[in-house]
Amino acid sequence: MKSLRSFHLARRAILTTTIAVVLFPYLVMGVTLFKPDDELTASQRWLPQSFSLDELIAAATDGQVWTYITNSFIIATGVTLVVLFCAIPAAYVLARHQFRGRTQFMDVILITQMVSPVVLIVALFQMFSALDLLSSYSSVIIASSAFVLPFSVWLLVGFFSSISNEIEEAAVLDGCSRFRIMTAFVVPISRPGIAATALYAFIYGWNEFIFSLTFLSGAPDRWPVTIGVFSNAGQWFVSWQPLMFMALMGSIPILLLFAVLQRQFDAGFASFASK
Amino acid sequence: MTMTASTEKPGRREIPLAVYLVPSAALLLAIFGFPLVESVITAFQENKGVRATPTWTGFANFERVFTSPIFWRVFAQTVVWTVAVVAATTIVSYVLASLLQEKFRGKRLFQIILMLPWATSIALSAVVWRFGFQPGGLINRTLELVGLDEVAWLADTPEAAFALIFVGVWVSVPFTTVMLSAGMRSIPNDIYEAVALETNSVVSKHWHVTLPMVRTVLLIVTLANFVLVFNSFPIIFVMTEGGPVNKTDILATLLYKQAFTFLDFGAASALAVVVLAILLGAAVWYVHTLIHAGKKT
Repeated sequence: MKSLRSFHLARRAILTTTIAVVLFPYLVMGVTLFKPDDELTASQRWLPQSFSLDELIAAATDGQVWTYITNSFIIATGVTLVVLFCAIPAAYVLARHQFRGRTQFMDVILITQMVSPVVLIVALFQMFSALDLLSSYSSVIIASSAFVLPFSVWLLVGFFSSISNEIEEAAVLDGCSRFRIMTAFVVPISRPGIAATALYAFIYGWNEFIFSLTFLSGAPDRWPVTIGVFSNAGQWFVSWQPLMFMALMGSIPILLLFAVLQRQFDAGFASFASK
Repeated sequence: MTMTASTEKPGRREIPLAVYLVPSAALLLAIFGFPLVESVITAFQENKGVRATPTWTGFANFERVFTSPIFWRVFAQTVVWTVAVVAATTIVSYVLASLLQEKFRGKRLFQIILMLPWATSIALSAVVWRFGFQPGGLINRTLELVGLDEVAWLADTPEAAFALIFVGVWVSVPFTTVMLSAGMRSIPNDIYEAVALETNSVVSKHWHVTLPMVRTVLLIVTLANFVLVFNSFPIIFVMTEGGPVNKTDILATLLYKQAFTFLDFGAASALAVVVLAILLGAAVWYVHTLIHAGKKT
């Protein structure tokens, strides 16, 4: 009995510590917003000593942060659309048809997971520069999409192969073409899987850093919020309250989206882990 | 399959299967295939950015990379960073995942909170962590509250390395925990019941049942973490930019600065080829010796 009690105590200690560590940056963002300048230079206290809303209001009414947010939204939406357009048809034929080269295609997709953006960044910079696509949203969207694609195809293949064959066979007897089977049966049935994939792509696009940093360095009006925050934090004199406001605005949309769709996401991960 | 084939009426218009793969294949070719070739080519050139004309230099870039003392120091730092983050992540995630197998109050909320670092941009959280690690910042304030001394976190190593590794673990734990937890959930309950007849110890339950049963998931997620952490760019670039004097650089940040601070695309590409070779070599070795070997027995 005693060991059970100490087990419960240990568990509570681990869970509480974990929560505190996980939430630390969000708490920092939250309290910094309300502190006046002189409380941020010397030894800081957790709670603001003289509560001030001025900095927060100034930050929220500054147009720059909303430009960054809009840019993040454009990039994230672009990545989601490109990934769904590429991944759905590929995953459909990979999951439901046998053909020569199928295994090889899956292997290529797996191998690309070994490659990271930083390894290709120089060559991609050269390529987009030669195509005159630097400083454009599309360079960031296309490059990010390629890095989202492999995992997305894997996720969708898992969802698509779990649909029973009978539906497809009945549709074939009815004279449906493959394309129609995909759009009218497979896609609607797999809505949770497609939602999980779209969410994954959107989060990646919203949070992307290195491509925007490199390709958009000459176009501050196209910077997403990640680059906006990073570049403001690199100034000689940093005003932290607007910066924390920006960081908060950069994380909240994703956190809300994630909290709402978490169940579907879990299902996606679970099917991936059990393979 | 034959069913599908036999009912296909002659003359019905079907889009060939290959067409469905064209968008994906084109994207992968443009963003992986072509730049891989381009990287190898640039590695053999003296290339000072897009405005200069490149010239061939043979193995000069590789020679420069391998004879530079900075490369070897950064290589060692990369190994320490990767091993420390991946090992700590695996241990923390394993403990959390096994706690998540049981029922407790607030479990759902805990799961959602745990995933927040994964859903937040690393660039954003790294900026906030950097602010927290400042001399007068809230990390030191919190240490004082529990009776510890202030630390100058990001000014020098090993403190800076510790701070970076800590943030690295903070970023990697959520995804790892979810994968391990899903793996543990799929273990049939009767195996545990059979073991419970023989022993009551938590340790032997994990050693004899859970660990062997999640072996594959554990190995795959560790490999994924290895690749991610080895190449991890934003945490270090945002928090210390590799400084002071390269002491917290890893190959990924060194490569980036070589290209975009010093505009030496040739040496940066040679580094990229080296990094890629290390990763592919390690991955092939890992898959062969660990994952496949485990499946055979």
